[in-house]
Amino acid sequence: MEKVWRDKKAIAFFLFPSFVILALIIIVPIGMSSYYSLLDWDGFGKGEFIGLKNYIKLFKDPAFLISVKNSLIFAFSSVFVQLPISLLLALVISKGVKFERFFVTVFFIPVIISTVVIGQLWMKIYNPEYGLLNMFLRAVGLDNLTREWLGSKDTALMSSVVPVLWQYVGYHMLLMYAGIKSISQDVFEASKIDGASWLKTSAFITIPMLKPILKVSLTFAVVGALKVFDLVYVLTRGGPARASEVTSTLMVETIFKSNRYGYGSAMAVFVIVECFVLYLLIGKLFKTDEVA
Amino acid sequence: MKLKGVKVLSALLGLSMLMGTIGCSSPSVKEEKPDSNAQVSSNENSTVAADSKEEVTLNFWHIWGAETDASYASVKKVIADFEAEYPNIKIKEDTTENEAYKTKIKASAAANELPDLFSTWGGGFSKPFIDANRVLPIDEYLNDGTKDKLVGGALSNVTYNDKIYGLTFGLSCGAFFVNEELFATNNIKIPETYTELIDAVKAFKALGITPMSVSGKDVWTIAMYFDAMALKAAGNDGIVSTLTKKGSFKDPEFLNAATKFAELVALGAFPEGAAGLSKDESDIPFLEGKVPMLFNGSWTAGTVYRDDSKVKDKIIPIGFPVFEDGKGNKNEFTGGAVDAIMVNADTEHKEEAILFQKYFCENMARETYLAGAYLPAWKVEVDETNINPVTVDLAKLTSEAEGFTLWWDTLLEGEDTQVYLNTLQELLLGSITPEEFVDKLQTIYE
Repeated sequence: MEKVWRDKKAIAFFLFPSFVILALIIIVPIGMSSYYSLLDWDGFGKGEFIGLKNYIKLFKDPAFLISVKNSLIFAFSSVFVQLPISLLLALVISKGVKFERFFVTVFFIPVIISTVVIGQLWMKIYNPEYGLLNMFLRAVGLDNLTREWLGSKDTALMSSVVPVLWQYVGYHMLLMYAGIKSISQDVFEASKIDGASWLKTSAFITIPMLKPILKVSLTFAVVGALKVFDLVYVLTRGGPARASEVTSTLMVETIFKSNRYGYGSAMAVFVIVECFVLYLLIGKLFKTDEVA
Repeated sequence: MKLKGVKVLSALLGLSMLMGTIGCSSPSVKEEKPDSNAQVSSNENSTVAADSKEEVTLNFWHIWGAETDASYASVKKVIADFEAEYPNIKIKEDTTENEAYKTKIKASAAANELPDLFSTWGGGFSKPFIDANRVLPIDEYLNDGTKDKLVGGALSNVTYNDKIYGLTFGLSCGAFFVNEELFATNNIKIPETYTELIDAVKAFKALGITPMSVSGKDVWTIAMYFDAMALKAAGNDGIVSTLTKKGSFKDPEFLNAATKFAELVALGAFPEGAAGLSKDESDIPFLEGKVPMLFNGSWTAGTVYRDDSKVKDKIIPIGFPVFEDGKGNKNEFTGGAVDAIMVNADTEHKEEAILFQKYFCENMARETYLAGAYLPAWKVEVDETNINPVTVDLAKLTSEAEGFTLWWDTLLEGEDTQVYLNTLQELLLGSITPEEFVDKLQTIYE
């Protein structure tokens, strides 16, 4: 076996098939998008090579800058609101509450439901006239808090963030729950014998031992938030007046409605780079942690 | 020996994986083509106008695939009739929902994978296809009397560079659908001028009734209103010259239209939170008889007679009230014959495709009029007693039309359309002034 590992040819041979697949479905399309992003092209006919002009225009385009800011708000809320909730749920459920499996399933349900259905559900919740949210506010006498949640520039973004967070809380919870369950029971028993409370066990044993899973969750949350499209599209189409526009909705509008394939491809490349940079950052964050 | 075994085994495994990959990734290029020779003899009873008796399959992509669509039954009937009349031609349909279809057809045009025939929209939408030589010009095929069967303006939106690239079948126009009963019971006059419209809006507001319905999320519904208002302010010539970049959005007429639109917004003519409502949601209060006015396309006639509608027999269509200080008059309408059928320039069955194109459009003109989905773009003779009364009213209303001004989102090309729609959404939200609005529109010229 040792010899096989040292045989470069064998390694290359084994890697070849997966490399072909990877190249066909990831590397080539990214390469093509990068090439398109250097063109002034309407998607038909011939494109004109214009170098980096699309990128220069990108950073002067107020709509694009708003969309990047909004995407980052999505990512920020995922990390600082969604993940803590997921972690708390995972810790509580794995503690061994009654109906453990039941709760795991219930929290996971939103992940299974189609995003379009979730969008429709939340549209009904937010409806200014007969929506649950406004009806509830009116019922408890908080009439002055009722809003046109998706129709107002001030609340549209946060109103689209909430369903996205809600949908994937269960997903991260399940990851963390599985992680906790895979930690050896001996450790927990030892801490119990030493008289550690649940809080202490969680803070000093469970969470540190869960680090690899947390890294995975964090990566998924950040990258997922930067790429979010479907729910925003269903709920607000990026409106009103770009208030909830994210980079992917803007990109689809640019490419398919405005017929600007070159410019839209530049946005796509930006998102890829953005995700990659943040992914590396997260990796770095966890590495320095390990050293310390 | 042992190591050698491992090596051989690994090589075999690797090879098999590789073969698997290749097997999977190789695209199946085989396409089933009808065996022409074998079919000839069996087609003895065909009554074909086209010379060839070969069995031909035409691929036809369109948007009328949902049973809820007002044109669904008409399409099914016309295609069935055609196949009965020309048994050697089979129509293979592929339908996609409207918005998704727009994306699909653009992508297919880009990849040069269009079907033999496809439904599309005239004006700016199809211009890129024509510029890229994807569509067959059909001038030479229309001199057999086809042109005389069409109503005026039926071809104006499918004519590019003086050549005709498609056929239309139905006409749509923008109209104010007003709930006669709500006006009558509240003693409010149905408006004919802008001043009367403002009076009506104020009167309804005073009664706590939201006067007009619009969906800010499906932005085109706002454009329905503004297109008509701009037309009343600037007149057809003013609109066409400005939108084809031969004038200026900074002309006082456009500012006039924008100011009046902003006035309606400020008066609360549109429902609260309209910007967050989809078209389906915003239609409901109108269909429940709670909102008296809706300006939208002539297809609304079909919506009014939907099963869940509570306003049947109460709705009449009127033109947008004229502006006392505007250049447009009451016989100018927004809309036109936009839905078109075009033939792929690279089709293998040119004759058959054009045969079907003509047959389909001529018969669809009649069937969709009967179904109340469109006003006919062909001269048709039908018994009007069974047609949706709102559609008949619309036909009467537009019978004196001087002309139709295409909707901006069809007249403008993709990129400019988005600028227009996004800016209009801001005007509806009241986040920009009418002056800023025309300034932003003027950027289309840059």
